[in-house]
Amino acid sequence: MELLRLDGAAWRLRAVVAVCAGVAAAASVEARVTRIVIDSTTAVTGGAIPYQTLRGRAFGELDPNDAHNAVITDIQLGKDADGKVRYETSFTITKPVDMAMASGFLWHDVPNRGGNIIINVTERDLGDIGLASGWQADNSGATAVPTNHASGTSHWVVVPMARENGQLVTGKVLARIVNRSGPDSAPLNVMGNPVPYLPVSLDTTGAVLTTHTKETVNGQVTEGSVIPSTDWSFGRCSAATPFPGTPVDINEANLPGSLPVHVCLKNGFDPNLLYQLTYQAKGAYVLGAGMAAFRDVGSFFKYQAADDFGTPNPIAGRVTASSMRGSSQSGNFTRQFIYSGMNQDEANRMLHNGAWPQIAGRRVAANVRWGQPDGVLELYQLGSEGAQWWVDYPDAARNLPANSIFHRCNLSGTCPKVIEHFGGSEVFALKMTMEWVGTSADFDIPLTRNVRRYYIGSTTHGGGGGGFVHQPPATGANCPGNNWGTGTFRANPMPSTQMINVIRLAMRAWLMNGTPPPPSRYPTLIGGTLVSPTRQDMGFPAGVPGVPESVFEPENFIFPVFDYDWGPDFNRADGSGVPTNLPPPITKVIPMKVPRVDADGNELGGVPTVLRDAPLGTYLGWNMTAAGFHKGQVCNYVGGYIPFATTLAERQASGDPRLSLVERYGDHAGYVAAVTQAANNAFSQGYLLAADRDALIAQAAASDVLK
Amino acid sequence: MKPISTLLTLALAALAVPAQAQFSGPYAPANWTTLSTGTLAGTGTSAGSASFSSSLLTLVGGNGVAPAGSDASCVGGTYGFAGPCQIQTTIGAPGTYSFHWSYLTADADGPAGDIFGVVVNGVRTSLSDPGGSISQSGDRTFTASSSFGWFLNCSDCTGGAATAMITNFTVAQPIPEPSTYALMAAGLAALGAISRRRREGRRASQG
Repeated sequence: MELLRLDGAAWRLRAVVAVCAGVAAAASVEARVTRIVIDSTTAVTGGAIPYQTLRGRAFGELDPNDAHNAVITDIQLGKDADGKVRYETSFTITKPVDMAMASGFLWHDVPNRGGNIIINVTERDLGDIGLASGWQADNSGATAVPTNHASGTSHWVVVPMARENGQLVTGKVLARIVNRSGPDSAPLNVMGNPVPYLPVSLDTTGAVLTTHTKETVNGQVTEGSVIPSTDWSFGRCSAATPFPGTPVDINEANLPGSLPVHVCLKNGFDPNLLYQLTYQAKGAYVLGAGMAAFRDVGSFFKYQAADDFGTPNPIAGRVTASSMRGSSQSGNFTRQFIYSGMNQDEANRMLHNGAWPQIAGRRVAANVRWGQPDGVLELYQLGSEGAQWWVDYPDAARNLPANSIFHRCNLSGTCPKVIEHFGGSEVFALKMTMEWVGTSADFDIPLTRNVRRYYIGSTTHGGGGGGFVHQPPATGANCPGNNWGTGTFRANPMPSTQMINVIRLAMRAWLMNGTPPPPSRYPTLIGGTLVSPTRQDMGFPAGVPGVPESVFEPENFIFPVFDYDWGPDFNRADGSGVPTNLPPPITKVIPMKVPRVDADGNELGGVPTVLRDAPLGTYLGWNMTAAGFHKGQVCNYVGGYIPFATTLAERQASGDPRLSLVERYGDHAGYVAAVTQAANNAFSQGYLLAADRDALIAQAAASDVLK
Repeated sequence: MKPISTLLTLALAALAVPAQAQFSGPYAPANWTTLSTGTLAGTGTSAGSASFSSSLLTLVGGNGVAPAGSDASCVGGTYGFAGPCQIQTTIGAPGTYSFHWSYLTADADGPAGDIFGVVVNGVRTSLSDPGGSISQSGDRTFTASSSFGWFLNCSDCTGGAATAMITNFTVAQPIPEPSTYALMAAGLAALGAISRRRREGRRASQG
């Protein structure tokens, strides 16, 4: 027995030594998530396979002197006393309860402005694993860190604020107020979320509040006047609590609850004016550490068995292929992430085999001091800096050398396979075509064999609701953006759902089996489907009801990329560093292109789609702002729909040049035949699944079109 | 009178040359120069080909399996960029060339990897659409002052070859410029003056 006890002690000692050795060995090669905590486990309902969602947090640390982190702006200013930079981030894992049912495929979803993502029932029925984790470290709006970190459903990252000599860095921040009226104070918002930075002082003499009487989409600003510092305050006010109102809380210890910062005007807001504020701010987050957190969390769950404290990875050893995936803002983050070389983990492994940036053709302000990652397209918002294309190609108009999203990962051999898809609104508002034709807009920049590009023509941002409804309610679509307003045209129903269904399976097959996805389809200069943004070059029919000639004017029609002068401390290629020159002068307007359209005004080029090829009207990637400061201009990034007349007499009465439904289809059966032909065409080329083909034909047959 | 009449007849005839249809006569296959450029490496490589019938030209692009450690079968070639590996066929004759083209690629990655187009006076212009379908076609007309032809560039020359076919081929001879007409008119006027002087000289010598 004594011998046995000694043997037991020896075994325990050996086990401790082995564990310590394992941890030490792992620590030398692992991405630096040091600890995970699972805060809750919830059953997921629906689907053939029982699933559960694990909600938790990951704690990590970064070595600022590691070359893998050198790209991060201000990383040296976020160090703890021991020289490490630390973060904490939320994550959600959606996995089969019985991991033997797992397919081996992991979707690492990028939250859009903090929103949680649970993989859908199709993906669950395939046995896929979902991982969503934080990246947006601005601690504002939906990315605000909850008081109780173990609570909540959205995604956030805690990163340090940049400090010099122990003091928070300060700098100039820009915010804009539009379409506000009356005595109520106005919040400093960006895309509906609070600007995350507090003023250094309540003293307004150090800030500048100006008005603009007009702004065009192509960057022409008509200045109004400077509002005297005595006539406004950093305060919350109303008719009941008049100027200067209640001072805003500028104690950074109270963030994020003290946001948004408010501005109160002595004489109230004039809806005909845009108000632009530049102020000295404090509390610059090391935003790029959020990129590293996303990288490290992905690497941990893909590659590691347990954290440094022995907590097991709940999906350890079950991931054989993975793709990151982000939509819109988070799609831009996906591209920023790859551009920054973050698809290489700290152990030099390729993080994800695939990436699927959706409805996103730019990058995002996720690695710049004072960055506002919520901002996407409006004046003075970042995102189009440097290369947006996939192969090294010179940026002649901005005088930058050849570069690409893949440049860094090519050097390390960690470039993922990429499928990107987008549609009309990305072209007209979200500055898409620079990705296709560069800043000179005169050459179709090739893709690589590892990139697929699918353009879904005539769609709104994210696609419409689908269906075959000729006359939906004539309500103008809501325009996204900073209190932008509504559009004159009703919402565009052209869906992207069916193409997304194709891509989902294509990505899995590509990464798991090497099966090539369908070839890319998109408008090109060579093909004559990508043209200058004029009505004449587009071939847009004249006289379509509700479409004035004025909307095609450059000052109204398409949001171009601006080359800004942000000052000497800003990295124009990486979109990183410190912008000091606010508001930045526009040094160049980069020309944009748009798809050519057919006689109905529907876009040419791109993948074949059923509603485009059997149309009930004109499906626009743009809309027109109905009222307010931006009246008559393209309505941010929402699309529109203009139904055809039903009969010849009806269209003649309105002067509509487009054929009526009766003229083009005859009757209901004729329309169903057109849908059937369009569906079979898309299916035969690989751009529509058989199940969706059949469902669309059935929907058309059941519709009221020409009944 | 007789020599002058002959000159006038020839001059008028030169203004009305009919279009030459198909690959025959001065545009017979023997009058075209086919050139294969670039170096292919790897296994199963083919530099491509050009073959004629009287009504059809078929260009087949290069292709092969890239050697280990390389992404391209064409040495120096890059996917999607017109590079050194190309099959082309040209003729050194000015004219206005019209044709129908059709293109099909066997490349699973689509048409971007195999670029088809025309060579006009030695300058390449792409016709195939890198963002379009794997099967494309069109009708085009180009005017060349010195030479004309077609090319099929396989960029990295792997993943499957493309084929381009040319039919409905016609050529119209160059139509003289206005200045040429003016010169011709001046020449004719001069000939008329010479003829008149000769007639007057004969009358004077007879009188």
